[in-house]
Amino acid sequence: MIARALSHWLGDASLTEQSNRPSRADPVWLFATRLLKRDIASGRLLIMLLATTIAVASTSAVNLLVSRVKVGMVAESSALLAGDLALTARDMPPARYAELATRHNLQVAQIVSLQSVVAFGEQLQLVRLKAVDEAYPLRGDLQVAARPFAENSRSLNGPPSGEVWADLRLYQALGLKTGDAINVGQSTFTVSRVLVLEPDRGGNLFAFAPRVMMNLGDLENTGLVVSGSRVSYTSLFAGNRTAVQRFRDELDLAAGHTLHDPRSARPEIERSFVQAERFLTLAAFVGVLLATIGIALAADGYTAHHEKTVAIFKTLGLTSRSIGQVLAVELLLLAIVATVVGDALALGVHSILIGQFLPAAAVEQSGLPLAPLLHGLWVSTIALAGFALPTLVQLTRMPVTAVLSRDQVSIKPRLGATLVSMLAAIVLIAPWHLGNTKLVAITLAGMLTSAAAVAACALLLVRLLGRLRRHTAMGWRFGLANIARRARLSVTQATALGLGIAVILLLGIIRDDLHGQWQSRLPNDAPNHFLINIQGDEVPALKTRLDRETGGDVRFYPMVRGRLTAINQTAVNGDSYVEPRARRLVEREFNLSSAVHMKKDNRIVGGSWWEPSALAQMSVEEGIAERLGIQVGDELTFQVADRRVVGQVSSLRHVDWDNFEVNFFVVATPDLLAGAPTTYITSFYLPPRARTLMSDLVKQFPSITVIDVDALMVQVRRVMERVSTALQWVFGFAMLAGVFVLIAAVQTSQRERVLDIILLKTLGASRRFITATVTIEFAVLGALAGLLGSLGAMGTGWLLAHFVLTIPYRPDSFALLAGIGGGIAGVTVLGVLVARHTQGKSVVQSLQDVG
Amino acid sequence: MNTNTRSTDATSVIAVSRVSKVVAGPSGELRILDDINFAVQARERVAITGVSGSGKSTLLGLLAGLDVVSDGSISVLDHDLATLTEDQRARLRRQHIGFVFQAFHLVGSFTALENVMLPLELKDAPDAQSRAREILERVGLGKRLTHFPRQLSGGEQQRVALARAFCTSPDILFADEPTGNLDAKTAQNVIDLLFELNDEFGTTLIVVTHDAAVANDCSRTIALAGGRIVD
Repeated sequence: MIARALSHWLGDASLTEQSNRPSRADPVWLFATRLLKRDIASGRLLIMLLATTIAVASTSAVNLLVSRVKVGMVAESSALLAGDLALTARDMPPARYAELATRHNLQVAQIVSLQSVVAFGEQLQLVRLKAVDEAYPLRGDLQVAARPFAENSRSLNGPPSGEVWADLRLYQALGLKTGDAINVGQSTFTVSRVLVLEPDRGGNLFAFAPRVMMNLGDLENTGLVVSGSRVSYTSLFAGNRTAVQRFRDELDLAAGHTLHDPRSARPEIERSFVQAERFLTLAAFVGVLLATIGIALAADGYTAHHEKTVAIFKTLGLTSRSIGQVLAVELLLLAIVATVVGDALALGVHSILIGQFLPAAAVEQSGLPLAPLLHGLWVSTIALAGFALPTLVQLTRMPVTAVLSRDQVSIKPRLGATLVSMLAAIVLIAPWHLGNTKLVAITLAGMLTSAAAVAACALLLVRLLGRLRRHTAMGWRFGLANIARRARLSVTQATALGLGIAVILLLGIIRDDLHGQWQSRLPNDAPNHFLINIQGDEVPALKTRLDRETGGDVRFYPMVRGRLTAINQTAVNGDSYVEPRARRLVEREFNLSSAVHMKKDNRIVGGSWWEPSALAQMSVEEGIAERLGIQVGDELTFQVADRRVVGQVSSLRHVDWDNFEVNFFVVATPDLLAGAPTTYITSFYLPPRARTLMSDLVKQFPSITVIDVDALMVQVRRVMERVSTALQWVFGFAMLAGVFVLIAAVQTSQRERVLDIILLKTLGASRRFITATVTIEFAVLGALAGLLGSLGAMGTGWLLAHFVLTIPYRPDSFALLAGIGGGIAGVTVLGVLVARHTQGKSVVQSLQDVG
Repeated sequence: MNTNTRSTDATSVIAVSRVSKVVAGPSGELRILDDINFAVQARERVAITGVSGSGKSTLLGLLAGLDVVSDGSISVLDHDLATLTEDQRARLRRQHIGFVFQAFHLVGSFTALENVMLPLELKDAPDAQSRAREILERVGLGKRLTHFPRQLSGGEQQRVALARAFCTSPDILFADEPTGNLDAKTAQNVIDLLFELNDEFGTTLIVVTHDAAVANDCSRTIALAGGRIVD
């Protein structure tokens, strides 16, 4: 019934004019189904089906993973925010926020933070006080320890009423023991735990003041929050993803209130995630592009084979329009089959993989999204409609008189229309994946330019090879002659193969670059401990001890606190800047350092690093320089203790803040900071088994402060590792699509090759000779495609790396060699395998095969 | 027995009047058929003969509406082909005409049964499968129903083609050198079968052949030479 309705909608009255009897199937659907079944069984549509299936499978699997991992990663990142959303304000947030959240069934938690002073006996210490309610944290782990350097444990809530948790620095600063009582404002609390890690602590590791967490219910009694107090309010929200989104959409934020989502919780994870998301979607997209090349090639072969069938259909009374409908319906059915198989494959792969990417809880929370599976049908339908239908529809132009002709009658393809529909299909498929115009534009421009360049070069080289053959031995002469004689096919094959190789290489290049960048950003031995407040005279003994324990050369950096007071002798203060962060920067003290040589993980982006003998010079980190309007050549004045330090900016540096290394906004030549009150800072990697060393160190050097970032690094590394694994799998899918392109490309010349082999066999050529000519032909074709493909990949790789992924790109001669080597090996092996299929058959069998 | 140039009359199923066919050749226009006139009565069995290049197949193509005349007119079953669109001619073929070709022209990816069902399904005929099965059994291929063309001999393929041509009981059947690809013995069997079926179904038969024996078994012959009808 649906078939009939569709057929009517397609509009062939001639076919259905007598078909008011409801029982029989519509001829269009009947023939289309029959053709599809037989074409798949006979192998004629198999490559098209496989290419479409792999397009669906790779897109659906990638989309499933991306959407699920995205949700999962947001869930994980939510742990870094302690909720799915965080709202910060300087004043008490209005009740309507929480009411709206409750209406959307969201959980809400409240935090109030302020600077305060705590007293322990006679000692006073400035702390950052954080009062949390019973719901805190909504996401992530709160890690505490019973005493300093003891094993961490997880806590589901903040401290109970009457207790506070203090971080290691406060324990050290005041010489606290668990169970001691401290005064906070007008109240007294028992210090019951060491606060090791708060999920929402963020990147503020070196905050000046130690941290204390207390129960929100106790805050009022302390009397600390009074009118005019500098208090920061945070509301956390968490719940079902759609509910969170709806809440976010409906939330009407008051001025000065800021909403943070998990992605902004940690910039290093955010950046890795953005890059990973771009790569994954890019890989999915080029996977589809690869498959479409396979589809287009297979459509070409299909058309050549069905010319006669179409002429017979016409003779028997099927109109051109009906034939077009039969072919369109056949492709639609093919798209449905490919979607069902592809989606099933994607689900299979997905169910194996998802457990590796996300913890079970995150998997449950994210749910199985249906959109990626439906998107599979869109991809298969559009890919077939754009890349196969125009070629197939040209069959309807097959003259019916072909049935009377003794010669082979072929239709001349209309290339222009075909190319336009291919482009339209790409445009229709692309936005679904990316939502990033620049990425789509550069990928497409790169691919199209590569395609045009590869096709032009292939044409030139094919002609050149034709001339070259006269000077070669017989086997080579035949092989090269075949390439030159089938010039159109050879150019098509070389272009398709070249593009396939280009795409695979391109993904490989970018994957390696991204992976390498992540590895270098956070290697396994990245520092997980920081020591600060080290006095100069403690450095030698501490260094000896740390070198011995860590087995490395632990570096110490001088640290001097100073406030920026003037730029080029013009005084600066908070009022000089509009931007809040710039205001804060000039209102507080900087950590300045001095060095003769630049740190290896820094990179000069303006000016130059000083000579060892240079005096009164400064190097400024590029971000802060931009924010404060500092340029190379400017003169900066810092107030350090009771004296003014003046130096000229000789360089701007790029600093990678994500790598957990010690770094400074401003580094000066040693002469500038000589005599200033200096402490030292160091960072090093300490394996978990050596944790007791810290407690020994603190006993030996009581003034130093230990900052343990191991727990935080484990979180960051876990996210990055999962993304890396995802990249490997996505690459695998694209490779599979590439293999189908190779097969489809090799098969395009199959009919001609079979006829050649029949002729050679008839003339008495040995099997060995035939194998040699076929091998030479494919090896040369593979080399051509490999050379052109790797050049295309390197060009597009540079464009993408430079403009989209913002990662450094180095042209790699290995890619060139891999492209050529892979092209020769892949194409030759596949080509010879396909040809062997024919060689093993008798002449008569082969003739039957080609019809 | 052989009269070749009857003009059209009211009872003709095919009426050909002053038909010419001109095509563009490498050295200018090529006149393949010139001033052809004849008529064919219902149930008549007519042979079109001539040497290679005499225009036989072109004439057959014009009669079947596969091609269009350059000049003159052809009326088939009271339809002036020149006034019909390509789709209308296709419909005419579907409803009233059957074909048998020298190269058999079976759909390679369809079984013998499906090939025969094809025109029945196109006509939306009831019981397509049982009718196709019946006629295949009639032509001696009852055990080859699920065989694909490549699994059948030339003679068997042509018998499938005959079954396909006759299964819709066409008013007119065109056969283009139906024995051209067969050995003498098989050819004779096929011709015998063709004529038997023709008698059974009461079809008007137009057969293009250069086989004198086939032509002799027809009620009359139209001989072509250089694109013109000759005596």
